Amino acid sequence: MVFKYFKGVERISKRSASRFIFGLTSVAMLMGQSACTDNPSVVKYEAPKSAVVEVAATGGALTEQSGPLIWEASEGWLPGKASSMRLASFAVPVEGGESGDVSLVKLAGAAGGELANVNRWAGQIGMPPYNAESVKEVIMDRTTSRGVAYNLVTLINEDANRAILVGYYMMGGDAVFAKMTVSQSGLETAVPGFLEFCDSIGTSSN
Amino acid sequence: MNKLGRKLGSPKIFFFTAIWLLVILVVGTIAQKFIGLYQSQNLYFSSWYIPLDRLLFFWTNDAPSIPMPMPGGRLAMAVMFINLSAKLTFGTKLELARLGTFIAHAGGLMLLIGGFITAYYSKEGSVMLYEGEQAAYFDDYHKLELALIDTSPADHDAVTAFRNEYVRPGAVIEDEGFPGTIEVLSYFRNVDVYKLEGEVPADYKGMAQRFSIQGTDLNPQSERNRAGMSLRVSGLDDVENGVYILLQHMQVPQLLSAAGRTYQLDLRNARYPLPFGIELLDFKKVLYPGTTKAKSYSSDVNVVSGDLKRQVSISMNEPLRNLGYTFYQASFVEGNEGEASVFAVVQNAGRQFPYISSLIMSFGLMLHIFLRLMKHIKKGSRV
Repeated sequence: MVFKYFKGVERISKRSASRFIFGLTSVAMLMGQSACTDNPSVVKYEAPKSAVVEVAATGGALTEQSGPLIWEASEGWLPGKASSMRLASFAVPVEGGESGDVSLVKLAGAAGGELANVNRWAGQIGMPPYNAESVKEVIMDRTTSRGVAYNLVTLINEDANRAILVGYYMMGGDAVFAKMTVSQSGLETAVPGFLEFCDSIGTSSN
Repeated sequence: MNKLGRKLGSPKIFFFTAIWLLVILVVGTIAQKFIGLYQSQNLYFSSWYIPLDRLLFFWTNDAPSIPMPMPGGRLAMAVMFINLSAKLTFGTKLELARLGTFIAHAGGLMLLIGGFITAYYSKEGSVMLYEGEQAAYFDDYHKLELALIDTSPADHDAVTAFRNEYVRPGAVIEDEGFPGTIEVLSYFRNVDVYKLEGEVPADYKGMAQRFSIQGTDLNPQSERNRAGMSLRVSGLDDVENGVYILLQHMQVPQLLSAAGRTYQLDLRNARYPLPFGIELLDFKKVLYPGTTKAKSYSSDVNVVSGDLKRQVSISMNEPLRNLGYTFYQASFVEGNEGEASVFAVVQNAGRQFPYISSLIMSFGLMLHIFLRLMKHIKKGSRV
């Protein structure tokens, strides 16, 4: 008795069904065709400028109130990440296609003190904090070619394959940090250039 | 035509294709343990054919090569699609009693169409943003491109990205405005890097002066593979002409000077421009009390369209959907430069198809059951 409501539609035209199915197939083929052109081999577009090539590739001088700070980039270094905090920024090519990140930063005053800074850097590569006694094990006294005394902090986390080296200077009452973050496996390649960089830092009055 | 159509629509084809799909499904799933999810998907499910040795010896890369192609998942589904289409067109008597199965089969066809659209159309990738940073692109998870970037314009970089057949040995790359020619000498999807010892040829430039690359086995985890290629640049001056090395994820740009312009070469994950920008305002991480285990992540972002900015929040279960793109909160980075949020980005024109086709199939099956029931009731009342 329900079938009486379907009278007239009991047999659907075969021609209509064919049209429906072939329409469906055509749609699929059209979509497939347009999909193929959605994966072009050459694409041109404009992108916002990349900061990486905007930083000067070589060392230079920056005039500060306490006198112009001078440094020299080491051979083979390339422009690094730009940042408003950084006076200079370099990428240091090392094995494995990776690069160490070198920054030169100047902060007012003692910038929290030596121990606090060392522990901050240690935390950045997953190392436990030092105390006033144990911190001496990672600090070495050095003097630049311009006669400026500085501390070289060396932190290596072998488990995480990460290392941070920092040249820590006090100049005119302000702290200057030359910091390199690099994989432990890249240390051998990166350290000589970084020490040259640290030893080149000074002011025009030195 | 009708005879051919009925043969194409034979249920036997569907039956054996479905069994073959099951075989591929089982082998491909087990193979994931050995070659990883992405490689397995490409080899077994997204392929038109599968070498026989990869079916028989799916657990090892050292099996002897058997040059016999077997149907891949994509081919099997294409056969299934043709079979279903032919069955519905030529092999089904369109009576009211069979209307339910007709609709259910049409739903199945639609599911296959959706699968094809997804296979060809969809893009999946990610974008990482530091707080305050904005991007109008995302990077593909797996596909690579060689980008030739003219960095000379003051306000933008002009990018020409070469993909597919250009990321292969022997490819020759020329671009309008770039006076030189770049030839791909070698390309490996995963490389080891070695420090060069001894005298380096005079025409080795940039990183090639210090390092060499060598292809190595693929890592089952696709994202751990690092592609590398060597290139020969010619047509410029002697300072720039020479052999260069590019590595995926290389932070050191390889630069070329030509005709007073500076070009950067980059081997990177294929980068897709977005029709809008995403700016990360704030990344939030909530920890379980007393632990370092994250309870939830979320990111406040601005969706930037021209001068207009719309603030939205993206969290683990609440993605952002805009203009066909979906942004999921995928991960985060806490580094020296501050906090960064990582979003998984998906563009899939076929994403509605499974829902719609499932509804159609469900309706068809319910209608079929209803009509059968009515038939039985009708028969019973006659008795």
